[in-house]
Amino acid sequence: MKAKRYSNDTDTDNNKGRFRRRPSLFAGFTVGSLLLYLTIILALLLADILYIDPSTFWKTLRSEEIQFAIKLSCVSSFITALLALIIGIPAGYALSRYRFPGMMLMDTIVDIPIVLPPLIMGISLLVFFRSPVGKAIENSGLQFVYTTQGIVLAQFVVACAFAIRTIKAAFDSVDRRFEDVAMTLGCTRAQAFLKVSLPLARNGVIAGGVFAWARAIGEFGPVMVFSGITRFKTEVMPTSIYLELSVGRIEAALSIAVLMIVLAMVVLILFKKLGGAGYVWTGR
Amino acid sequence: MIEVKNLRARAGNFELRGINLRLNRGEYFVLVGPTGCGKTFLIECICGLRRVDEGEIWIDHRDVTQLEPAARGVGYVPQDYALFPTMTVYENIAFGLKVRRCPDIQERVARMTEMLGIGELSERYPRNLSGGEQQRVAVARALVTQPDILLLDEPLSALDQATSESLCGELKRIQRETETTTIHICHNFEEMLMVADRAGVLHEGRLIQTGEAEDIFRRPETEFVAQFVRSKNIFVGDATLQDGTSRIVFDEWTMDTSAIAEGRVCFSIRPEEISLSPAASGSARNNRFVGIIRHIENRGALTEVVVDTGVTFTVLALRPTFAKMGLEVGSTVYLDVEKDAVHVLSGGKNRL
Repeated sequence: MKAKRYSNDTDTDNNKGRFRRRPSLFAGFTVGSLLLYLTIILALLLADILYIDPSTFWKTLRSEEIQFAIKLSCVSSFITALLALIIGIPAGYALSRYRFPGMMLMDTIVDIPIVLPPLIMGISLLVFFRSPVGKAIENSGLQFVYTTQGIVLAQFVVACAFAIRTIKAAFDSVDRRFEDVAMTLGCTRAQAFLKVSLPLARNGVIAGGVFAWARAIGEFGPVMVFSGITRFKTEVMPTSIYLELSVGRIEAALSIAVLMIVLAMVVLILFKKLGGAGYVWTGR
Repeated sequence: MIEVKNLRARAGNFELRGINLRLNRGEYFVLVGPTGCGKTFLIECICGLRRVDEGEIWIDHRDVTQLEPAARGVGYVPQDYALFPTMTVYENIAFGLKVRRCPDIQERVARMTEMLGIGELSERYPRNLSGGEQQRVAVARALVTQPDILLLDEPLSALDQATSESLCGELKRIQRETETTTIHICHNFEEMLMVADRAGVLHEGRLIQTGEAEDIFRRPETEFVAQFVRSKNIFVGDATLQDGTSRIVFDEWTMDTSAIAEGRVCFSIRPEEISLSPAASGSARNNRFVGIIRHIENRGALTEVVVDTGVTFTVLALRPTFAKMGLEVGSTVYLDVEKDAVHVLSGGKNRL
């Protein structure tokens, strides 16, 4: 399926009719660089796959504790991505549209979870819930430390930053004029956003959700520190890999890794089919 | 009807400094001015898209200064048209009616598309339309909600000249048919002359002259307006009044004018109102100068000739007429200027 393009630029259309030159040294260089990187990644994947034999792979994935981890990973990352979108769409819009004092600072704070090693966010969470405020939250019945909801929280603090960043960029590329016109045509600001800007930013918003999900399902450091790795309770795929590795079951660890690779490929391809192609694949 | 009273607004280091403007119902008003003079900004203030610091905006006897854009009854066509890319032409035009939950949407859209001759485009997306088609759709979208006032921001500047000229007439026709009070922004005076009932010139956030379009063209009040309408011959001199005509002395030359003027004045002569000939001719009552051609430039139907008579005059002549005279750079020519053609700038005097 070809992604619908709403932009007025006709770059790709123009390229079709362009005079085809013979391959230049420069084209060779750029494509060569791409191939080099692809080779590295594929070599690594191949090494993983060749290391494990199919029977271990199936046995690992069929074991009850791993099945639990897979389910928990899928559920928690899905919830996290949903939460990241619920916060990220309005937050990204605000960051893109409004100018108020301290904007620079806010923009920078959003970048912190992206730049910092994720482990630090986990430790910070743990320390926060040891503070009086954190303890008050825990005592009010909302338990986070070493719980499943803690996993979602640990994933969320990092993943949401990625969602906000991506969604802000998407709204940046939507001309304000569209909303201006919609408002003169009878829309309130909220209606103009829902009927005009959001559909235009659709691909970027989907990309934001996918990036948030990808971060969430792959999150290791904060989850391990904040929720621990308790079998049948707080074990998710990345922490399982660590657990298997720490007891020397490299094949089991790699089996889960391969499953994660397959899962990532499936989601990214689905995303491409959904129409996010233009966003990620042409850098818009 | 619209009235803007002493409007002041600021955006960055740009400012609208006390705009006063009054349009009658059904009037086609053109706002001209160079790029960056605040035309778009003023229109955005009227739409309610910008905060106003001071002053009032009244549309059809309602003070709309504090109202949301939706409640003002304005139809807005921005410079790039801003057609919603995710919607078809039909959905674009019907948008305002749907938001307002109007009845008979299909009928009203059909009537509008018929009037603009875009009926067959209904199912197309904006990206597949030509510039002229996009402009018509944008106008239809703005007019279908029957606004009290239509605001067009440089509606023709993105189009090629042939399309732009035909749409110019079209806009005027539609405006007459719908009797919508219209403000049309542009930066060239030819467009202004084609469509405007009245016009105003905006310069550095101030409305410096309003009046009949023809008046702005023929009778600019300030040197800036004179330059803007390319009345290229602008001079300063001292006028004395004698028997109903004024004689203006500038440097060593004199110029008679039928305008009443005394004292230090600024005056202008439109380049097409100076006649040029290889030998002395015309009425002796005209102002006459002898000079040498310094420069000749082809302007399509016209030829622009720069003549040095001690002061520099710029003359526009019909190209074939000029060609028959067989003149070239360095030739001696006679210039004739009728007294009626010498226009004394009223605002110019104040400035000097």
